[in-house]
Amino acid sequence: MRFTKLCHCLTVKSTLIIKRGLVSKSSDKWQSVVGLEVHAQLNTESKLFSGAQNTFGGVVNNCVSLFDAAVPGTLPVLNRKCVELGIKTALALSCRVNEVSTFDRKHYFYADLPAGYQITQQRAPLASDGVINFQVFTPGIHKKPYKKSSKIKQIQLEQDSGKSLHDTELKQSLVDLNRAGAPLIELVFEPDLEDGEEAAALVKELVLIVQRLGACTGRMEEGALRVDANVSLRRPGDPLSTRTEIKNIGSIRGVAGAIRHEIERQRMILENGGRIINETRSWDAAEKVTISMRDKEVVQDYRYMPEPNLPPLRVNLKTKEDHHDVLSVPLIQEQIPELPEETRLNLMQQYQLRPDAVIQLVNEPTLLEYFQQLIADKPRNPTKVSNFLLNELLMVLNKRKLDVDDCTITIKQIRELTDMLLQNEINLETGKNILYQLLDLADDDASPLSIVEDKGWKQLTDEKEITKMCIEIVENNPKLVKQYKDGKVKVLKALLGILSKKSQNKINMALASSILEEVLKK
Amino acid sequence: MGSGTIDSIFGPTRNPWKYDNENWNITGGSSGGSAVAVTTGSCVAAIGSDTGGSTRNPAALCGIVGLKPTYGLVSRHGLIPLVNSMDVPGILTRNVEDAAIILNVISGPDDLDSTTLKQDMKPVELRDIDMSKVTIGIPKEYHCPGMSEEVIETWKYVTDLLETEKCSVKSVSLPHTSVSIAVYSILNQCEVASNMARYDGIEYGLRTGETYSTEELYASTRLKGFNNVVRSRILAGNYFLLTRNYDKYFIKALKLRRLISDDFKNVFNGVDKVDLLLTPITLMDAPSYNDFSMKNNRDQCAFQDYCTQPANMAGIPAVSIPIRLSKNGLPLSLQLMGPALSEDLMLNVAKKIESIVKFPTLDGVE
Repeated sequence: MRFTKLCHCLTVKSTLIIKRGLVSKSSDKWQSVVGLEVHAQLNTESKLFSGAQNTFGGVVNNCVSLFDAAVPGTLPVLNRKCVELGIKTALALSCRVNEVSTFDRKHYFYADLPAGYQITQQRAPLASDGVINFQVFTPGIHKKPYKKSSKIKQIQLEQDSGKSLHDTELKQSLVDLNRAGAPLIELVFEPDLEDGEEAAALVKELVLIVQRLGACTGRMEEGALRVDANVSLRRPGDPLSTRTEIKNIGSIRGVAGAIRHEIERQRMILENGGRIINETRSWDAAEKVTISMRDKEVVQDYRYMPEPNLPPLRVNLKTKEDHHDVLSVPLIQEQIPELPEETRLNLMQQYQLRPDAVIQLVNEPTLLEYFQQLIADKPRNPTKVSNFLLNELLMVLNKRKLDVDDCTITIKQIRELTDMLLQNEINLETGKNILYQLLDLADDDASPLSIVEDKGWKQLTDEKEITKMCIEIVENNPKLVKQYKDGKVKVLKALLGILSKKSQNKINMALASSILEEVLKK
Repeated sequence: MGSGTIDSIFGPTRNPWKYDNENWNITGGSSGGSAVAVTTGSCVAAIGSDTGGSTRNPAALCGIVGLKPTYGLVSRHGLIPLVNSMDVPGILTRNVEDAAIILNVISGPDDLDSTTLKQDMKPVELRDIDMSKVTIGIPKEYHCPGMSEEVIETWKYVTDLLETEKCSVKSVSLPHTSVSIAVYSILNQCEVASNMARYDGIEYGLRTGETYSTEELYASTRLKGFNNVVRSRILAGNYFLLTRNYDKYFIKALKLRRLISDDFKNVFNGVDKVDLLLTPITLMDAPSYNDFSMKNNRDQCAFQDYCTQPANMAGIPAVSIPIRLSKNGLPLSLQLMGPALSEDLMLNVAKKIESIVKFPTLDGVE
């Protein structure tokens, strides 16, 4: 079963590579242009303008204040924490924080928008003109990482809407207002990207940044970070052409897939002499297609108007003086932690790790944490440690269908295990088996050392014993040995496999390989 | 909405002065109900919202005191919004002293209304003030077409009276007064369109049984729930806010609003500055229901709000004081306006006028 799954994965990957090949072939004809708009929910106790709890997964309509239900006579009161987190994110993305920003009403009718308008910052946003730098590297698609950056037009504070649930059978719509009025920042990026992989890498980097800042959980599966992608195609050198917008993409791989398919769809239309219409589309992750959401080609007029109930938001850009309603930006600047790009540089310089290894480590905060802990308390070989985490641990977690963030293995257990590996007390295969054991036990007190002792998994390094086993193998497999002696050297691998199996995977493979070769020569 | 209090769901509100079942006069509005409750003695004080004169207008026509405080002095939390940037909770009482007491209780900062002023105001204190130190301005633009002789005479009467009290009185100019009503109308309709968007029948209030689609449900609910006045304001407001019209109407109206506000700043701060302004408040005494209902709401507002809405545009305090009865036996009132946060002086002068004119109470007449 597992084997077939793995095979399936491999075929998917190979089709990806083929498609990629097609893209680059005709890229001299069409150039794809991608720009993103990202909504990130701010990680605060209460909502943007009300005291209601800001939480995911609460009891339906249980986190709703009178203001969130748009009861007449209620007024918005700006949550200071939201401003702080918005500014923090803006500073981490090298934006210019605006001394004065204002709020606007954006009008449209929707069942989960109780006031009939959303309060946002259309004319004077919280921050403008930033940039995000990131590495593009998807194993299987890119041979090596490359640097990319996208400019940020603006970052604005705004309210989230509620959620509508449609029951098509009963022909009923139900509305949950728990999310109504939750704080969002919208980040508007310039159309600086070329394809879905670059967009996915940008989003991944953004998730890492907001998580480090504590500004947003980054949990895309909960809708805490949602991506809209604007996609268009043009002939190289031409001005930007008509674009389509793919709304609410809910995962990083979804971003890559949706954009790749949308580019493909537009290319087909253009190559058949068709015309792209400006429309909103949604991404169907199961069917791998983008679908038109509105049939009309009418641009909605949101009738923006200044929000009269909120005075302009002022911040202190110059000094560290902090007031109840005037936050100090220099003070927030001081609280910005090390950002992912810096971590990658440090890891490469300090430990001479390969760029792709560094990208993978930083992309998985849990692995990075293991790595840093393992390197900190005593000298261990950084390359070997990182390889073990990125190859064995990741593979075992994938097999168990576990998210890296849900890994239950403690740092103490990882330490013991790595030390046994580095000191050649166990081989890699055993290391993997111990990982399976630790995950299945999910017991903080389980010790890799005692598992090895209990199971008798200590590595077999005794040369005499190995030689004995090798002789036995050679005697029992005359066919393979004949093939080997006839010059088919590859057969050695098969023999080694039998040997490993015979030793219950405990044998030191490097040693076994050289001994077996010796024996075969005789 | 409107200056008649004749469109409400329970029928028109009748002015308690000269009341008879066949022939009766309107109360003014929109807080006509509050004015009647206070005039008849049902309560000592009432609150009404004042967006363009809705407290002062019915107070004037019913012969009581109507106070519109400085914008931001009294919290709007809990007030059903009409035009957020102009709405102020107004106070209706039978005399100036009661109005001052209520103001001192309800004014002050409120965390739940971000537009309230951040510091506490010094409470209003009524005392014997030296009238010779007070300068009163008479803005000439408030002599408007359609103003009745009686109102003009009343205005003249109080002007003379203040001069007798040694006030210095001078003529001043507020040059943008005549455009104010048009500007007010545009801004009012834009904010009304926005504020009424929440009455969609989903969360609360009337909801029709329409089940074809959510859009149809909105349309039928809003058609049924709003009367013509509200619907026409929503339509006009949304028109002004369209991207292609925004600069032409909304932004232009905001610029003119600034000029109107600057007119007041100039008369209250310039070299020839005055402390308060004395103006009419309505163009005549309370119209009869039959006369009033012949004109449409929009024309009535343009007429009735002429003297009251500039104070809302500028956010300054204003008070309506009953002066005397007209030939018809109906109240005639005048308005005092002052710079932001001048409630103390304004109410002290109002108190002085009140004590001299000795306006009769309703039960005193009958």
